[in-house]
Amino acid sequence: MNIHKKILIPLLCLPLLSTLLTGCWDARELSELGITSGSAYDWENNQWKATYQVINPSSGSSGMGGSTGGSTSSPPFVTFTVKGRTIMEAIEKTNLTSTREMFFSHSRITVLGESVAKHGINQLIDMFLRKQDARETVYVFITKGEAGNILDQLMQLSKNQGAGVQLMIEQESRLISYYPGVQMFELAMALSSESGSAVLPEILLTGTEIMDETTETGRTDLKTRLALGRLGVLKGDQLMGWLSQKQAFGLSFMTDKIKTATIAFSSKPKSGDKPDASYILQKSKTIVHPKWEQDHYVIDIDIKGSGVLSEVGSVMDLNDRTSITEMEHSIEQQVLELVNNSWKEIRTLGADVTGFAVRIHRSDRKRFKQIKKAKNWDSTFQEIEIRPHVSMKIERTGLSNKSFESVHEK
Amino acid sequence: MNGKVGTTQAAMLIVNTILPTATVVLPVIISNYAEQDAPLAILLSTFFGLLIAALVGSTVSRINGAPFLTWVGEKSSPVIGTVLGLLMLQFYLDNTSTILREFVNFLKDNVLVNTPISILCTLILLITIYMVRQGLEAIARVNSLVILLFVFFVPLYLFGLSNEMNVHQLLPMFDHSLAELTLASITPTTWMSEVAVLLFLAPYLKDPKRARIIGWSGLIVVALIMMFSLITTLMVFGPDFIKLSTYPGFTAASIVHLGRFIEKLDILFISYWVMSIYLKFSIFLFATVECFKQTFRVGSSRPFIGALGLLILLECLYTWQSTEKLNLYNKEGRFLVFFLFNVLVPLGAIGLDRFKKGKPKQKGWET
Amino acid sequence: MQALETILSCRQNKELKTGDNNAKESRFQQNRGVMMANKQKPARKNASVPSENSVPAPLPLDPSLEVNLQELGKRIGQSSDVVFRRFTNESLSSLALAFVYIDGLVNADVVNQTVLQPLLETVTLKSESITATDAFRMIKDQILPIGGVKEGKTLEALLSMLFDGYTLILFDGLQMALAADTSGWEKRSVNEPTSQGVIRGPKEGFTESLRTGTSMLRRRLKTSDLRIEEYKIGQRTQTGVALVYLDGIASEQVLKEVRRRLNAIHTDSILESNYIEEFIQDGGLTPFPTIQNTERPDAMAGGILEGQIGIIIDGTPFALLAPSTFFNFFQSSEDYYQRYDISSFLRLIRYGAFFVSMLLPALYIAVTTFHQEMLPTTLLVSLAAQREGVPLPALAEALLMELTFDVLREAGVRMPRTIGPAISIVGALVLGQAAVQAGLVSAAMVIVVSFTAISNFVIPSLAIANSIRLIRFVMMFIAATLGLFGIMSFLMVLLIHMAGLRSFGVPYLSPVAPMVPRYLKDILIRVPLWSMTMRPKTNLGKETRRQGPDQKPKPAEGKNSQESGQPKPQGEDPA
Repeated sequence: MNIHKKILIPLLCLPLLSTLLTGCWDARELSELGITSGSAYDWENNQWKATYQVINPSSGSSGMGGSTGGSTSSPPFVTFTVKGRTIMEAIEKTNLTSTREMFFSHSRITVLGESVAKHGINQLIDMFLRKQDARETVYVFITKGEAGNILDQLMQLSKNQGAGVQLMIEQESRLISYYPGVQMFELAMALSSESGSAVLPEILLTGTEIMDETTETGRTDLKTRLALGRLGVLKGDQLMGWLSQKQAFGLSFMTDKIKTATIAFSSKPKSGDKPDASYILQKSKTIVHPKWEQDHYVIDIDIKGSGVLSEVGSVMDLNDRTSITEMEHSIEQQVLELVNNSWKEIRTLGADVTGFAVRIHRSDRKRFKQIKKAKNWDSTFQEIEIRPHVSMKIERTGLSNKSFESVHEK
Repeated sequence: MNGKVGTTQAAMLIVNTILPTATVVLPVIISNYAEQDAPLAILLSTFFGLLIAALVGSTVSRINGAPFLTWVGEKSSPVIGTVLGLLMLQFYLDNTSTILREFVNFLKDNVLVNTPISILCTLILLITIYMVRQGLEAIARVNSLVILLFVFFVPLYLFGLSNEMNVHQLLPMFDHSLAELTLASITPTTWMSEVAVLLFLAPYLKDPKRARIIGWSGLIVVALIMMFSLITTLMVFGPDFIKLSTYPGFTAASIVHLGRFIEKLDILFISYWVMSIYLKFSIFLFATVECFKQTFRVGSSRPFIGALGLLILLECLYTWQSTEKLNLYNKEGRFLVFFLFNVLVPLGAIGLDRFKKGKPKQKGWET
Repeated sequence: MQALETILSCRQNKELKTGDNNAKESRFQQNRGVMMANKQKPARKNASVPSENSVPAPLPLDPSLEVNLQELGKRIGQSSDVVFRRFTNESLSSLALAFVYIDGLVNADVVNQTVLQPLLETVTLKSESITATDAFRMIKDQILPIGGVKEGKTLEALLSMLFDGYTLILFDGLQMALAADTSGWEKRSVNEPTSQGVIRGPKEGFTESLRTGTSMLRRRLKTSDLRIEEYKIGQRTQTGVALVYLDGIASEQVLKEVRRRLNAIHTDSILESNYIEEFIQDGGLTPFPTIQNTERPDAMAGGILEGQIGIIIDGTPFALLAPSTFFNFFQSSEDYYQRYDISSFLRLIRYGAFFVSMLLPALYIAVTTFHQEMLPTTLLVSLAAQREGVPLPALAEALLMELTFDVLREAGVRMPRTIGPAISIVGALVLGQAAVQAGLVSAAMVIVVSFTAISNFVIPSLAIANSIRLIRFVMMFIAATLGLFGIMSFLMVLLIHMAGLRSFGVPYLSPVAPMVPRYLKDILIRVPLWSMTMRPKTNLGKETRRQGPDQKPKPAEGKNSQESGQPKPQGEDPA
């Protein structure tokens, strides 16, 4: 009896095992995958036009692979452009032209054409949040013309263009802090928050010609390169306008997104406004504090920073405290100007990219509820007055005590 | 092997009785009502949960390790015992099958998109049946091991998210009325009330007198972990974004990254979660089997585990076929049913005991 | 009706047989070793015993020497190695004596000098004839200059002594015979253990001789608490099996269980320790070993000191240690011969290697076919590039390579020593390199498989390393079907299986599950010896102290140390 049972149970389990073996429902072999490193969306003739950049693994420099078949001249990635009434329809249509199944988990960037940004991006964000293999961490960019063109451009020093652009934006936000990179979930968070506005960095081609042939990357100075440009401002799900890089820089100060930045200023503001010195801002902290004054909000913006002097173009003795103070003052003036300039533009655009609504909600929830009820946040926003207070410190002056210019003076 | 389960292990069992599905289902429901005040809702529901645990605990210590339904049958009449047993059996069958469904739904949503549900259900069920056959002692041991793994996963989670977290997202506090908070805490309370599973684990406890402590410590750990996960997700996403996501905790995990090399770790967290829900499911299957055993007074439950499992499988496959039905039940129906069985039943048992004790001359202590 | 009758009669027959057997069995039991203490009557469960059960009934000795010798000759057959020597000593007794011994099992010098010579020399001592009984006593008590002299009354008892290398002295007219221990046969000398080498630590290993084994333990554990119980198991092999433990430290309960299981063994032959292991280990169908085996006497002494029970089997250098928990298999005796920090590090590496060796191929399959998003992009792209021309799916690729490795490994064991290096060259270069270059497998897969294989050798116990070799294949299949979820599910099954497993009543995963935090000092890491003051009670049932409470070395506090003076070295005691 016992022995029979012992034989019977495995026997009964066998067919079960075989079903397990035959059905590898979700398995995808690596060689069947089209690993996308970037995607771009345009809106054309009431249709979504999607462009995907698929990495071509065999163009990799390592010849160790099973087949060294991929010649070095084969492009590091290929692009597909498809159209569909919905995004997913477009994606699925890729399978009509591509040998591989699109795989989005390794996407690094998503580029939105201006046309899409004007049409609205809610549907796109929804797709990214809903789809199982879509990454919420892709960096989102906006571009003036057709987004698909961006993905065609080859890059030097980085074979995988998506990852290359990601590196670019990460370095930009780490080293010069004009604007931070915006990831998909951050975009969604910003749009779903109380302020309902978001910014997106612009990516553009520096020339008119698209470098999309591998032979063209052989030259040292490409005619056309990818570059980061202005900052697009979205409200609701639509593009409202642009902030120039300077204005974006000011916005970074207001939203405490500065990591390191270089500020050019005039070392002797009395003798001229021409910037002739640079300052590396190493540490910066912004505290935003809204308060209600009679009929409008006043936002105190305290910006405190410290850094190093890195370039001086005038005659100056850096051991002299007064000249340092003077320079600090000049830097503060620069920052103040940046902030005010930026605020002016933001107010014109009417999009709360500064996140003031969130701040007000946090510190003064009762009044904010009233505002929300009355649905007059937009007009409240227009009436906001900002009072930026900047204090910048030059902590060190670098490796030389006197400016080189002063040698000439003698 | 009918080993007994020590107090610490039992408390850990309670943790995994509640936590796995709670982390998946609750954040959305809570933050829908309470937004950034979600931690408060958790506190509130923990308070209710502790009350329920006290209730269940004192029932268990009154019974002192005897099988619950048998005890009820002895105290009142066998008929009442059997009827109650049947009802509770139905309750536990439903409950176990919803857990299975939640488990499978989650898998289908996140990992195995194309794998047929029936295969997944069968596999999970077979494994769980094996677990139940090994006895509660083995389950408790594995459970303690799995809980220990928190030591690895919590720092990873925290460290990976440290860049993204923003304390200010928790503000403004107390933005919601008490009514909203209560509404938000109802569903978590139902989850907390699952501590009533102790009624059926009681015969296997080393020290049933300490059931209250077991329940309390288990619940407090659950509350802490829930708070931790809610607060971190809130700090990362802010109150508005959480509502959009079906599984906010795991969405947060997918943002976890260490440098540019280790990214998209949600699969790792999902695997960990899979282990703990296996345990949860097995605890409930165990309770179901125990309930069956006590209701029909069978000596050994082993031959029936398979049959009960099949029943659960069928219910899972056909009754809970659609997700919105399950969500609706989670949101609304659940409270009533759970209140009935997890609160009223132990309350009734205490009442019964008091009543019998009140006239001790009639029957006296029969042990 | 008729059928029923046949069944009934059958059953009766069986019962008859069983009864018979039981009788035989009990006699058989009497013949087992003399040193047996606490011997219990065997509990026979198995009713049906094959008819080919040829243990003859004990035959008491016949008074006539001639008959006895004839009977002996008949039993042994005309085996050429048995030496019968008739010997008459008129002076001692008028009765005839005879020697029987087996050439090759006895030391010829010993026989000549300690048995033959004294008996011959006594010629001059006494002249009167004495009775056979007196002669017997005299020879036994006065004449034979040999430690081990035993008496035997039945032919079977004598035979078994004969096979142990005793020289039998049979007397005419007496129903008793003497057996003098003259055993001495060709033995392998004590060598360095081949399978469990260490860098620092004793270099001697057990040999095939049981006596050498017990002596090695005695030399290490010079305490009166050391108990050695001896059994003879196997009807035809009569293999000596010694149970070694420390009285008062080994758990009585476990001891009782081990004795019961040993006694219940009813088999023809015990040729190696695995025979015993399979007969007494828990868990029946488990892939995990619940008994350790070791070749090292120091490891065994260590185990015994922690309350384990050692089982030494004659004829094999591999001895057993029980009860063993999962974590015992990761402790190597060298852990205690090195500084604790490096030992702890090595421990952690071993656990890591365990998981790698069990999971790595499965993880590789799961990640590359299910969860590609987990990999860093550059790694994924280079993996994809490698797989570009590979014709097989990942699972088949992995299986192929794993099997190839197992073939190579087996070949390496069977290969004559001289061609060994050749095989490794063929294996490593030809199969690895060429397969990659031919595009049959991807380079990453070769790395995965070789790392898995190397990890497998890190685990100190071959027993557990072998068990995961098989689990690995199951893992690979499940990973290819359900990805990481499948791996997790199977891990769950393994975990629950291990949590339910016991080794002689000790939970297999203790002291981790059930968790006893203060017993974790020697599990995942090894703390310094002076801080392991208590013996864990995991496998004893009680906690005992093994080190003084305050043993952490520290500089002497000036005054105290001077007062107490220089402690004498213990060895210099003249007594």
